[in-house]
Amino acid sequence: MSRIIGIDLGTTNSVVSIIEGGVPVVISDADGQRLTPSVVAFTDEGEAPIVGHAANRQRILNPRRTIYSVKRFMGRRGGEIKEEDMFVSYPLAGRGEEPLRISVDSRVYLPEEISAFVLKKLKADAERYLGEPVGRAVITVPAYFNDAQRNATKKAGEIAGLKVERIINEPTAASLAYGLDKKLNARIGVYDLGGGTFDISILDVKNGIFQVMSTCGNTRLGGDDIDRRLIDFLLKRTEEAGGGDLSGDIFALSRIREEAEQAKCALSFQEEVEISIPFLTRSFSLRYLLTRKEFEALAKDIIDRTRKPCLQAMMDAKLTPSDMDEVILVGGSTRIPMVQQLVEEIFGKRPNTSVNPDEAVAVGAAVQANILSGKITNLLLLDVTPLSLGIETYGGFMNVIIPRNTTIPTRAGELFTTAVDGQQAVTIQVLQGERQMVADNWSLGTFLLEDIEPAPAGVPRIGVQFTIDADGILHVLARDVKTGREKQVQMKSSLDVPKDAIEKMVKESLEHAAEDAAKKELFDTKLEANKVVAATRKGLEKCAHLLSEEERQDIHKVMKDIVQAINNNNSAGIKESTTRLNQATERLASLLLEETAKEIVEKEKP
Amino acid sequence: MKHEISDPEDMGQKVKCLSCGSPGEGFFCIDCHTLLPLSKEADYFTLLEVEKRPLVDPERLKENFLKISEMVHPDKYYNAPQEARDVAMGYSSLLNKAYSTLKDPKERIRYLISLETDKEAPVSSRASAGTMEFFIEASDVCHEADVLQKKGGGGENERRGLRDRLQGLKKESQKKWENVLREIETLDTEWMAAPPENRKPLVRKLMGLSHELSYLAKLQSMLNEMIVALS
Repeated sequence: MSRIIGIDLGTTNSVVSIIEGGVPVVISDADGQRLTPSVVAFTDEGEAPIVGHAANRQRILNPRRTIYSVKRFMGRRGGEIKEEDMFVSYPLAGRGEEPLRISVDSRVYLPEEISAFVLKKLKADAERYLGEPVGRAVITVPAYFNDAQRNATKKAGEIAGLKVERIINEPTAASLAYGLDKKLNARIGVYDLGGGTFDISILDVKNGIFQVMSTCGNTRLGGDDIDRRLIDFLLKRTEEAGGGDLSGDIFALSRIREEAEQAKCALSFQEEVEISIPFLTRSFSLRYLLTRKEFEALAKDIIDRTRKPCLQAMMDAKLTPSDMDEVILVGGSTRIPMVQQLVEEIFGKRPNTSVNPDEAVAVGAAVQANILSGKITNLLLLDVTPLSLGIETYGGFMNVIIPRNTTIPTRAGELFTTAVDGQQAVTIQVLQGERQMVADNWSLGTFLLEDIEPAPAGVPRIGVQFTIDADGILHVLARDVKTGREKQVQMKSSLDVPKDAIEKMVKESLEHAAEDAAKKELFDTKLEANKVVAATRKGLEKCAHLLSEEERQDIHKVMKDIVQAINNNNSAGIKESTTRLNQATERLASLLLEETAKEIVEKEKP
Repeated sequence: MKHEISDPEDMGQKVKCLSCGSPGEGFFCIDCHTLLPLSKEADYFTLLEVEKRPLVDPERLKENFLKISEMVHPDKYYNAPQEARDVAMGYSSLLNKAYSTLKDPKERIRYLISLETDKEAPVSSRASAGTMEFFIEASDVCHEADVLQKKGGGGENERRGLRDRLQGLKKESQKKWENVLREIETLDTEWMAAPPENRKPLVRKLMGLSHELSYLAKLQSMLNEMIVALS
């Protein structure tokens, strides 16, 4: 059997690792890089996309076809994502109950298909390093991922040609990496703040057994949010400094995003950073000196949002800060000094920064891979399910069947019956979450108990067994108590989209894509035309007297044409008349330049 | 437990080894050292190798849980045939359930009652007057906190004041919880002294205590939730 690799499939970066001769090895790519940006870029239609650093490098030039942070959308429906979270440079489709999708050129991708490209690259890097084919992997997910998100991750692995031997939680993986080379007997917390997700897990480690006592988190909280805050801040500065409103300019935004991210990282090690973006527009360059204090004021409330999950996790573990021996930091965002201060404040002790925050999770996945293959026998991981599992009952309430923080694998049974005489089928909705009302929780889907023998209401007894396996994934088994018939029940979720439905979605989104593209083009054309018209008006104010009557009339006529074309939403008309206006104002432009030059010379005279 | 789907073929204490067919008891086959299928007769106490009584030593329970987990966890049978993997999965699930039941006094007492009376312990209807009164008083404070939270959280002073009150209530409820545990301790001594056929009145007393614990546990989770919300 081929060996099993460990993969940390991150929001921002991904890492692949193996254990060789008992020592963890992080595998570099062909260029010697250990972190692979989770970025996939489509260049020429029909060609395989580029992945990782190469994709990241061309992100600014090709924003609409460069897909990043796709982990935020794994296993999610459109209706669950807030408007501001849709803020990405590539087109997203999928509304309400539909799964989120990404359209690129003439194709539509599910988030797991994009992630599969990243996994394929990591698989190839591992194969190159090992000199043998690799077909099996342990992949990590945020501990707070729900069933749908775990399933989507598993699917991504399958699409990439990997048998996913286990899905494990990122903070627990990190704890394995931390405890690998020491005899650890301690209660530890793992605070994991990455690019897009936050987890806190509390473990009791004893004689090689890593027992998770509780876990909590937020699957849409991370460094990305801090970047966004910083981008908004720089947009405001740009507007104040006379660079105009660039919030709709994808190219400018991509450049600001890159600078913002770099500035954020720099401020973890220095007190201030000079942000400089030359020629953000044709006439504007942004320069700004950002201090750590300013940055912290921007990021504070985002970082503060990690506090409550930490308190909740301690309460669930029935522990107080003084019971904790250590808190380990994982994830790139824990390099931020303010994050470290918050952790110290919550847990009352200096956090442990001895693990590599970028690589520990992948190493832990490799450790788990070796536990499964039997190469490591003195370690065992006992993890928990992060969210309560339940079913809908009367009145729209959720009835909890498996409470959160239950050690997995776990099984729970529930008896169902009919409500009407002769009823032959019962539909049951399965939920995950901590709220009382069904509507506030995540619906995993419904399943149907059918072929019930006709009987008076309440007489049939159907036992349903819910199993959460070691991957944290749910399986449902139903059994008619009277006949003893047993069958695996298929959950129907709007995320398990059948093939023909995907094709239909693809077709629809293609139609929308054309529509969307046309809309975007019209918008851009109008914007450009308005700019030219405004500039012409300004020029005329100054230099109209220097033009001939004929020239003046010509310009006015073309301007009228443009305004009319804009009002009619006539994209081709706008373009054509904008070109004509540019031609008609050539002499005006040069006159304007001369006049301005003269003014400057006048001003400088003593 | 009552709702657990049981295998009709597997009713006896003795089970057949999947690998060599010898009959056996416990976790492993004496003949070939593979994991034995689960016997449905085993109760949680037997499974975790502790005495069936109201009181359990938490350290010992945990030690046994970890020891047996190492023997039956699915990770240890990852490359075994599917049948053995299924057995490990079933075992591990049951073990996890058993441990989470026995380590929590409230669940443990309820489970013990269900074993003694052959039916599930009734869902608590009423606790003692003192506990009920305390429960209502504390619920009112939780409600107050909830209203404040929904209105947008109020001022920092107001929040701190409420949080302190909630913390005070939590301490008081923990004290009450400890008191109930002491009563269980007394009952445990009587339990061990009484012959099994004379335990009926003790079971009734245990039922009363289980109601107390249910109310207090519910209250503590409410208090915890509000304390976190106001932090």
